[in-house]
Amino acid sequence: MIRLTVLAAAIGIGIAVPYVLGAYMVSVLTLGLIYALYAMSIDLMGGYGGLITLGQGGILAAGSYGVGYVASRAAGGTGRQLLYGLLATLILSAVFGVMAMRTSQVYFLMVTLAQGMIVWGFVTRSTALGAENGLRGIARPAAFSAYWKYYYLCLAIVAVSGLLMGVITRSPLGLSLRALKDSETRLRMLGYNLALTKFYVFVLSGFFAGVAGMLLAYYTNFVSPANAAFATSGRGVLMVILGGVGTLFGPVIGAFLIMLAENILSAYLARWTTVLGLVFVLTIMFAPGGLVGAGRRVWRRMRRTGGSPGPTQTDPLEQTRPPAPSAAETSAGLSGGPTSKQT
Amino acid sequence: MTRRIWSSVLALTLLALLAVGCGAPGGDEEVSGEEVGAGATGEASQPATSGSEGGSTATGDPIKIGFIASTTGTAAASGQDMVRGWDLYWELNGGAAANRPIETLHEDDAGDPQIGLNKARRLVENENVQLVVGPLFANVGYAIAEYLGEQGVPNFQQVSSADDLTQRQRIDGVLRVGGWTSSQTTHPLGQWAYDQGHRRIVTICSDYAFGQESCGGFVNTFTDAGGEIIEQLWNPLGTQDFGTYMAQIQSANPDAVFSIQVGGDSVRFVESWNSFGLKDSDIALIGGETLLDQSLLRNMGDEAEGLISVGKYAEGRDEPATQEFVEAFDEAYGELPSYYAATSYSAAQWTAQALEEIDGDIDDTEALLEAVRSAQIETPGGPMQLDDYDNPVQNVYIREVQRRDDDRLWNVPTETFDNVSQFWEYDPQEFLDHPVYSRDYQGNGVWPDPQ
Repeated sequence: MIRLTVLAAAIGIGIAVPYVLGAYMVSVLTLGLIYALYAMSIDLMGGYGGLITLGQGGILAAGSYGVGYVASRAAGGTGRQLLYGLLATLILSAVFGVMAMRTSQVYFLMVTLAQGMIVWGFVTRSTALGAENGLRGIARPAAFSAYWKYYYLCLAIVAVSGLLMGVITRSPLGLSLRALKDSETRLRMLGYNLALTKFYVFVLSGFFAGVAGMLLAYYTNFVSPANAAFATSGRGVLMVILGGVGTLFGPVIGAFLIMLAENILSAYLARWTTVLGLVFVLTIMFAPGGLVGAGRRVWRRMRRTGGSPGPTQTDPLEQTRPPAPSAAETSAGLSGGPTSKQT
Repeated sequence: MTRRIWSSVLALTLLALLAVGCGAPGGDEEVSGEEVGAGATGEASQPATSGSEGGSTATGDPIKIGFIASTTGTAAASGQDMVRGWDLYWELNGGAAANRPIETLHEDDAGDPQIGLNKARRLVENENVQLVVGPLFANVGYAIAEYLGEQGVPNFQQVSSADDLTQRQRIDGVLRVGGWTSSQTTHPLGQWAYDQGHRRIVTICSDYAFGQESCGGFVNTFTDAGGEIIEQLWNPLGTQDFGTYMAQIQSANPDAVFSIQVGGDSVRFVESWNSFGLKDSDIALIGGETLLDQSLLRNMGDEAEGLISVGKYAEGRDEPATQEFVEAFDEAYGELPSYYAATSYSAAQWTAQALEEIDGDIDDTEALLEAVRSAQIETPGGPMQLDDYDNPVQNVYIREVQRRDDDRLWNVPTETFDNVSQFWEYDPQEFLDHPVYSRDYQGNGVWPDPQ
C-alpha cells in the first residue's frame, strides 16, 4: 500500500515537473530518468540475484552505438536506428551472457569487468565508430525533439520498464533469482538450471540497459567511448548502492542524486567529486541499505513508537534485501575506523 | 559473500572516483574519460564564478561568457592552467571590453563529454551566455560544438585540437580562436627532421586520436621529403613502463625518434629515455608539443634539459608579447605558463579585440564572427590570424629545453616557421580529399607532393 502511494506520488511529481521547472532542469532530470533505468537494470541482476556486474556500461554503449551508427554513418531512419540498437544490445547481451553464465561471485564480477573493457577497447579503436571522438548527428525523432516531449517519452519508458522489472522479480524466474543469491548449492540440489537462469536474467537486464543506452544517444545527440568506460559501469553500481540494493526504486533515487550532483552541485563546488565520495562512505556506514533502506527503517520505527500496535507489516522485499554490509567489514575497506554495529 | 563483493566494488569505485577527483600531476590532453594515472593533488580551488569584473570601471551591460575546462579529472592541472590564462588577461585589462564588463562563468566538465554537454546546456539555457570558450578534450569539444552550433551560440575552442573540427567536420560558429590542429605543428617538423639529415626514423606515439593525428602529420611530410619510417610504435594512453619500447628503439637503431605523449606518459617517457641511456646516444629525440609542455617541465629535472620538441608556443621566446605574458603569469601564480594557459590567454585577447571592433554588440553574432575572422592578434605564441577554415595560421617553433637563471626549465625557440597553415604547404582541397590521420592512415606513400 505504502509502496503504491510512493510510486503514484513519484509518477505524479514526474508528470508535474515540466510545468514547474525550467528547460535546463528538465533536461538534467531527463538524464536522471535514463540513468535510473540503467541503474535498475544493474539492480535487477545484482540486487536480486547477487550477480554484480561491472560491465553494464558496455551493454549500454551497445544500444547507443547501434542507434548512432545508423544515424550518423548509414543515414537510416528512426525505425532502423531502433532496430540496430536493439539488435546490438541483444546480441551482445546474449554473447556476454553465455560467457558469464557459469560463473558466480568474484568470477562473475571479473568476467563482466573484462566484457565492459572489451567493448570500450573496441569502440575506442574502431574508425567506423568514430574512435575516441565518437559519432555525432543523432537526431531525435521529430515528434520528440522538444525537450519536454522527450522528457515525457523517457518518463513513460522508464515507468513501464520499472514496472516490468518489478513483475520479473515476482515471477518464477525472479524467485529462482533470489534463491540463487541465497544459496546456489541448494538451488542446484533442487534441480534448477542455474546457468540458464543467469543467462535469462543477463539478457533481460541487458535489454533494459540497452534501452537506456538508446535513450541516452538521442538525449545527447552523440555517442562516445565514455559511454562504455569503466566509469559508466562503476557509476551505475554506485547509484544502486546509494539508493538501496535490491529495491528497484532505490536505484532511481540514487541515479537522480548522482546526476544532480554531477550537473548542479559541480557548478557551485569545484570539489564536488569529494562530496559525492563522502556521501557514499556515510551511506555505507550509517545506511547500508541505501536511502530506501534507511527510509524504511525510519518508517518502521515511527510506526512502532506511534502507538497502534497492529501486526508489523512484513515487506516481502525486506526479507530479500541484502543484509547490510556489516559495519566492521565496510569500514575495514573504506575508512579504517571502528563503527557501531548495525542491528 | 555477496556482501563482501558489494563492499569491494564500492571500495574500488570510490578509489577510482578519488583518483579522478584528485587529478593527475601532468597535463593530459584530449583523454576520453579513462584514468591515466593519478598522483599529486591538483589545486581545484578557483571559484565557480570568477568576478573578473572586479576592478572594472566599465559602465555598460555585462557580457556573459561561459568557460568550460576540465578542472577535475585526469587533466585537472591542464584545465586549471586554461582557467588561469583566461582570467589573467581580464585581470590585466580591467575586466572589460568595449566598455562592457566581462563576466566569466566557469564550468568543469570533468573530462566527460556528457557532463560537458550538460554544462553547455546550463550555460546557454539557464545563464544565457553569449559565447562559450573551451573545452579541453576533443570528444567534449565535438559534443558541445554540435549543440552550440544548433543553438547559434558561438564557440571558441582554444585547446581541443582534433583536426576534423576545422577540416572535414566543420560546424558553423565554432572557431579555433588561439587554438591549433594536432598535425599543424608536426607538418613542419617532418620536413625539419629531414633537413637535419635524419633519414631513418622510428615513431612512438600515444595510441589515440590526438597522438595518431600528430604522428600522421610528421610521417606525412617526412616521407614526402624522402625519409623512411622504419617502425611505428603505438603505446596505450597511461603507459606505466616504456622499457620494452626503449629496447625496441635500441634494436632498430634509427637516426632519430619522434614521440608525442601526454600528461604522465610524457614524464615517464622522458624519464625512460634518459635512464636507458638513449639521451646520450647518437639517436636524436624529436618531441611533439605536449611531450615537453611547460606544465610537464615543472615536474621534470635534468633528464629533460637539452631535449628538442616542436610547439606553437614557446615560453622562452624572446619577444615582448611572450615575455610580458610569462612574467605576468609568473607573478600571479608563481609558475611559468603552459601552452594551455597561453592559448586561453590568446583567446581572451582575441575576444577582446573583436568586441572592441563591434563596439561590444555581442548579440550580433554575424558581426562578432566577422570581426574575429578578420582580426590579427599578437599573442604570446606569436602573430595569429584565422584561415578560411577558422583555424589560426601561426608560427611553429623548434624548441630546446633550457635552464633559466632561476633554475627552472623552459622551452626556448631555436628555429621558427612563420605563418604555418593547418594544411602546411598542401592545397587545402586536395588535403581534405584524404581521410583524417589515424592509425590506418598516416599519409605515407600515397600523399601528394607539396606544391
